[in-house]
Amino acid sequence: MIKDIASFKAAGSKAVAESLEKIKKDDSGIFITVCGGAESSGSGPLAGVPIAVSDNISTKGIETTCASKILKGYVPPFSGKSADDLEKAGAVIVGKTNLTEFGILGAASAYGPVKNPRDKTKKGGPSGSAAAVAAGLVPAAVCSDAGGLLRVSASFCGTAAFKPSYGAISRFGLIYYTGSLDQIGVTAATISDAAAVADILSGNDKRDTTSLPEKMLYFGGKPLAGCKIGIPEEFLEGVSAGVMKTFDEAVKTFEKLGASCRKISLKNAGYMQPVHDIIAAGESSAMLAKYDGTRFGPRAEADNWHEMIAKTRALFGPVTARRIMLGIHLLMAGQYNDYYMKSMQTRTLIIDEFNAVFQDYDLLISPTTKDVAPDVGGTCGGCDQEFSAYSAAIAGADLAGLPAATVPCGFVGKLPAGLQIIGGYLKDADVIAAAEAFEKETDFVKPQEAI
Amino acid sequence: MIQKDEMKKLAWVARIAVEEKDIPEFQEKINAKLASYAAIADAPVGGVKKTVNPSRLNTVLRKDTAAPSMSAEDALKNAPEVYETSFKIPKIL
Repeated sequence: MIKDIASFKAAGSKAVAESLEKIKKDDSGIFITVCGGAESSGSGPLAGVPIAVSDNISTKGIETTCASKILKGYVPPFSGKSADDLEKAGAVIVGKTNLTEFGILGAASAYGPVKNPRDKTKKGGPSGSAAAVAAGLVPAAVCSDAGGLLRVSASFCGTAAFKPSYGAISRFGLIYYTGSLDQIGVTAATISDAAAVADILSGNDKRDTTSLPEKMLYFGGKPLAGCKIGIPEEFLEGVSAGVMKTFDEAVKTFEKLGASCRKISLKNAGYMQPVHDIIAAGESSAMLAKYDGTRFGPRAEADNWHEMIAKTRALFGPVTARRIMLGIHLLMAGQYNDYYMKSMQTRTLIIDEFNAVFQDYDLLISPTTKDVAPDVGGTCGGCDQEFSAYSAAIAGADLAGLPAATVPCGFVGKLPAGLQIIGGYLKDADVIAAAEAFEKETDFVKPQEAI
Repeated sequence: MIQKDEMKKLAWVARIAVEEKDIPEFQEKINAKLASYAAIADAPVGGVKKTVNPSRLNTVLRKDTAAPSMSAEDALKNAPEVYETSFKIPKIL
């Protein structure tokens, strides 16, 4: 039973205990850690509401592993700003959700895959955040989103999700693997709930140098009537017939609501996935260098320092290990100009093209993923190419730091399909307004809907 | 494309122990990634500035003033081995 924040609030003081009880019984790999002693206290807009936090967000006194053996047993001495903000708002963090190792798409979680609450033979996505909401365990979950960790999961599980403009939510305490792409976002039963939680997490934080100086406003966006929506043709390539059918219906809905939708072409779209991949690999090789058995996590037995580090770092899963090695290769003098530098320059072209498009259009829409949730343990159960199997549209929003939402737009069989709405930089409120209007007009997200 | 010897060197530079039997698989999968990056070969980047991150903020250095930071006790709490107020590691040589 997917339930919204209001439904959990209505349960009053029992909400947290009921949520914990369900989480403890869950066998779908959604959570890594259950915060057994969590109790509701305090006041605030989320008073007494159980919320899940991804296991790559630091939580003081609660084990935080990033789903990697290399951080097994790590208990942060501080909380990330988003975890702190949730608690200040009265929310109760009831557990830490599963994710692909360090959030790298294609890497396997040390705790196994997340199963989809709608069909346990299917994947719940690269993170357990959306599955936690879809299964009705919590009304909202906070998770980082690089490469679709959040949005792909939401699309597969039929929840709403929102990733704000780069810098809107502080990443202090987020253990990210690719700093220029990773953002913290929220998934919830409805986009309004996701925006309400994002609002609580937003605001300047001096501990994150990329934090925007002003608090982002998510409400009061442009109404859909008169809105100009672009549909990049390249984002439709490789989309399955079933998902395409749901998308075509979504376009009709936007037009019914007064928006004009028009197909456009993004000439740099073909570069988005490889550029995202190259930048993420390069950054991960640097950001995962600190896991060496010296300051935190397990340490392998060895006679000397060099051997100890190499044996300890063998705790990374094979996909993550290869990503680090690939990143190092791409940053070496012989390859740097052809790959990494060229990717950073191509990123400028991609951003410039988005900026030009948003002179003429208010929003861009596309299917969130090319297909519905794949089988658990299918060909991409821990593979190096998983990211490219999902969507170029995901990569584009990351590279340009654009706000993006996904909302359910229909079903293929009993599996949900997602619609991605991308807005211009800092136009977060417009994205939320369009997603809310779409949600109200359709009935694909129903709080308390029986699964 | 990387060769077997380069693969071994990469594993060493990454300081990740890889068993000899796994080297061919690592080499093959990393080469598959590199092959997929041919898609950016024709990107028209002549004279284009690089983007390091998508933030539109101007980088301003903060003032070099002391501020409260994590205590040594907290910083050492997760260390596998500690000596007084330092991280202890195995011998280097």
